[in-house]
Amino acid sequence: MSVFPQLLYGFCILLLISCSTTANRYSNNSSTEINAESEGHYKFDAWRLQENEGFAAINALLVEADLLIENKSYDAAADKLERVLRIKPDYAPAWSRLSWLALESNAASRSLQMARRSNSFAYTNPELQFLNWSFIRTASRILQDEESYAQAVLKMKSLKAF
Amino acid sequence: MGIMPGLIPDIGDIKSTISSALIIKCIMPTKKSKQHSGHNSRHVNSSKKRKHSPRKHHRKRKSRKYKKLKRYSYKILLLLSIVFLIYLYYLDHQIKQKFEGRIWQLPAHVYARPLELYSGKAISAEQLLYELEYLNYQQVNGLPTKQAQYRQLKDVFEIKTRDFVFWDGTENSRAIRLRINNRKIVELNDIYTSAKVDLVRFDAAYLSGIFPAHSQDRLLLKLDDVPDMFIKILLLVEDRRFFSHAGIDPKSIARAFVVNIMSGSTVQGGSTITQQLVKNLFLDQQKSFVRKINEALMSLLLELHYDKKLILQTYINEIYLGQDGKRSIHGFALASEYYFGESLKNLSIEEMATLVAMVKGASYYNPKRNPGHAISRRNTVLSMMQAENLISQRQSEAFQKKPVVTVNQATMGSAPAFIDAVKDQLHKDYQAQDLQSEGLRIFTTLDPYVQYKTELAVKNTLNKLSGNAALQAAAVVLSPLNGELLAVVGDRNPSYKGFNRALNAKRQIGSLIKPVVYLTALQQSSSYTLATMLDDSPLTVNIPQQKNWQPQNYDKKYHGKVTLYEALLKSYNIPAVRTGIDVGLDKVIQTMKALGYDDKIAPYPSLTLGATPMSPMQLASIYQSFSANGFFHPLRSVHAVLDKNGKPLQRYPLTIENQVNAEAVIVVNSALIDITKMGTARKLSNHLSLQIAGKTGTSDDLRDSWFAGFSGDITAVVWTGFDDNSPTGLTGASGAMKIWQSIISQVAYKSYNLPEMPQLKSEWIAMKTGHLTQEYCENAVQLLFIDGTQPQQTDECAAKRNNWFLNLFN
Repeated sequence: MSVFPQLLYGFCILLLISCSTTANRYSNNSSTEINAESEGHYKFDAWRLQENEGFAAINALLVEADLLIENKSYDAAADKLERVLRIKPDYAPAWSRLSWLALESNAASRSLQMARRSNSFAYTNPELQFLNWSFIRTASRILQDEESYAQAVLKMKSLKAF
Repeated sequence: MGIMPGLIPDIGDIKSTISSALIIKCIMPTKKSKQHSGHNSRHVNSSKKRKHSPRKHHRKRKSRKYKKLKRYSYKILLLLSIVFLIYLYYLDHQIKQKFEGRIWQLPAHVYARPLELYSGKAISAEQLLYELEYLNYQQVNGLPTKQAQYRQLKDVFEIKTRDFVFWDGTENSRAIRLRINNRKIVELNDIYTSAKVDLVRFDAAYLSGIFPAHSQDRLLLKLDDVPDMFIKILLLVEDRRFFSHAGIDPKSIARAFVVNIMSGSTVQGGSTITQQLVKNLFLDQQKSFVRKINEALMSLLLELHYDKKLILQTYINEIYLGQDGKRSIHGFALASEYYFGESLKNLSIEEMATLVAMVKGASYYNPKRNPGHAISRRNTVLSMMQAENLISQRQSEAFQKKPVVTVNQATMGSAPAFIDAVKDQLHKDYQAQDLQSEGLRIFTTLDPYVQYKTELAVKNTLNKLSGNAALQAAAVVLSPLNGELLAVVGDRNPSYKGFNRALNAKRQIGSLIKPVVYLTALQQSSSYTLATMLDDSPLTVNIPQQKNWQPQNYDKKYHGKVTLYEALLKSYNIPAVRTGIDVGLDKVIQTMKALGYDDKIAPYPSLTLGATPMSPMQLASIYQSFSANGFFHPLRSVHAVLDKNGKPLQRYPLTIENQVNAEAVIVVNSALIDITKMGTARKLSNHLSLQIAGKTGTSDDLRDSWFAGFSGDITAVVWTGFDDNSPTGLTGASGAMKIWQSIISQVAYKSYNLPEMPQLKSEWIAMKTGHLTQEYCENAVQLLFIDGTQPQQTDECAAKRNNWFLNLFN
């Protein structure tokens, strides 16, 4: 008989957990996820500069872009990133930065597309893919695109293994 | 306080007032003389009557007459004074209106994209030389010391770039040394420190202007930005007492009068800078007494109202200094750029003297057209400078020995078809009037070298294709991964400013639609793959209320069951129609729109064979999406717009849309690559070393010849045909493809490679059955599949490939 209250207690806890996860379909429920919305934070590990001589021009522009981002000059920073893409159109971290800038500029749809584009070049870089999916998740939540949001959550879960 | 418009007389009123005054002036004395004569006659009569009238009486009468005359004279004088004052008021109003409003309509200046160099950049020495020439850089024998100079030592270039204000700030001049090896920059260092340079951005080359009707062009300069030496030379030659006279200078006029009388011809003018400005701004060029009076009056009024410095600054920006085709060069700032490729502050003393020398006669002393006259006049100016101790005798002698070196304009025209694309993009945000008058600085995406090579390819290839000079062509070249337009040609004569076929000629696109039809099918990957067998047998399509349609293949044959891959490779018509109808014409249209097509289109079955008119630009949008593996970047020709002071007005950022299945696009692209190796465009592989993807297109009766395709760094669409839609005798492969090939062979550096994606798998397929097979089997072809859609059936080899090496091991 003493098992019953314990079962009831366990059931209540489970109910509470399930309520807390279903109440907001768009919640950020993992502490390990990269929170793309944290204001002013932009120095993600997945964006680290490539220490390769061939990337000198790109790195120079990225450093300038980061300075501009610090000063909240997002348009000017986007200009620098576009210059990076003229040099190396498949440079996934630059597309990823553009996605983040779009999020910061309240352009969720643009952010989503930029992140997808970044992912199309980042198939060997799960860290960057994870970050991009986090941008997609955020953008989808803003756009109230449930399907895209669910896909992003799923992808992030699968990429966590990396 | 504004002046009420009604109070200001117009020129007609003034003229009528002046004429009435003159009439009155003429009539009054006549009346008086009549009266006078009448009076005299009466007087004679009366004297006859009154023979002994006293002398006193006569005097009285005379005095009365004089008083009357005096009274009339005052009235006339008063009237004339009023007229004169009104006239002065009118002139004053004219001056104020112009000076306090916008003095000039400033054309928009359009710039090409800036060249950026970095280690590893793909560029040939030929291209770099062309870019430097286009930027009006001067080749020197020694180390470049001035901005816009370069030296070439075989594959090494030493260059000093120009300062330039971009939309994102000023790029300062850099002195760099670079080495090109195998069409790539392998070293990039600072000339002086030898330190590695990461990235250099050159100034953006002036491309063209968007002009108001009068075609005046000028760059505005503030007086503070004009070098002191230049001002000294200008005042010495044109108006020595500028800062002391009141608009007109009687001393100068007297001096000029004496000099001209002595020499027997007009060798010196007495006009002040103020008078010259008034003449240029307000009056015509005719030499008449009335104009001279107006000039003097307006000069006085101008000096009364405005600061000397403002007058001088306006003069420096107004002065006419030559002609560049239809564009007239105004102001010393633009003249400096036009003749010497330098800003005024960077000119040498003798170059400044040359510009000042031109004031006397911009055409006669034009250093480009008449260098002899220009040198002679420049030397006169230099002698004057020496006489006034502005330069030493030694300097004067040294400068006088120097030739006048002007910059050549690049061989490329102003790319009018590209400018149309710029106007098209800007018309959404700016009115035509603003583009012609606000002095906007427009930074475009045009690549001068790609434009030049595209123009050459169109001109040269068309001449080889047909002797008929009416055969036309259009080409659109763009960057596949960001949608930036690099070049646009709209006529076989690329500098022609009329009908722009690249933007406005809508012609049937033929087989260029087929990749869209098959992409629509492949997006339904459960039903279609490259290995899906399609039926190429006679087909009759019933169209309600119209005659049945029976499409045919180009070779008028039927090929039975063929794979989708083969149907695309060989551009068979009937399988495309069947597929299009099967997947739904509305779905095909939906795919077209997702790829970037932005116009209306009717869902007729003939759509599947490209019986729908499109412009090369519209097709370029669609093929850009293919070249970017399904990501559509709306085409852009403009990066940014600045106002006349360099303040950013508008930025056109990179945008992206992805509404098609990227994997399906890559599968189609794999077939487009094979088309250029084994299909209708296979001849390309003989001429190009890069891997490319593309599709030929030919409309009914060979009326339109198309080719659309891409390398890793260039996407291009080319059309050839006649304006009257008559047959050309050219297929896509024998016409447009040759122009396309000529463009790509010269401007593309990177192969198009299929991206490696885990969702895509390649398999060996038997061409005759569409089943899995082995690599060594005859008719086996390697095809790409979205994972999970591969065929399930496997064929054993009917026959092995005749390969002695494989046979050895099997």
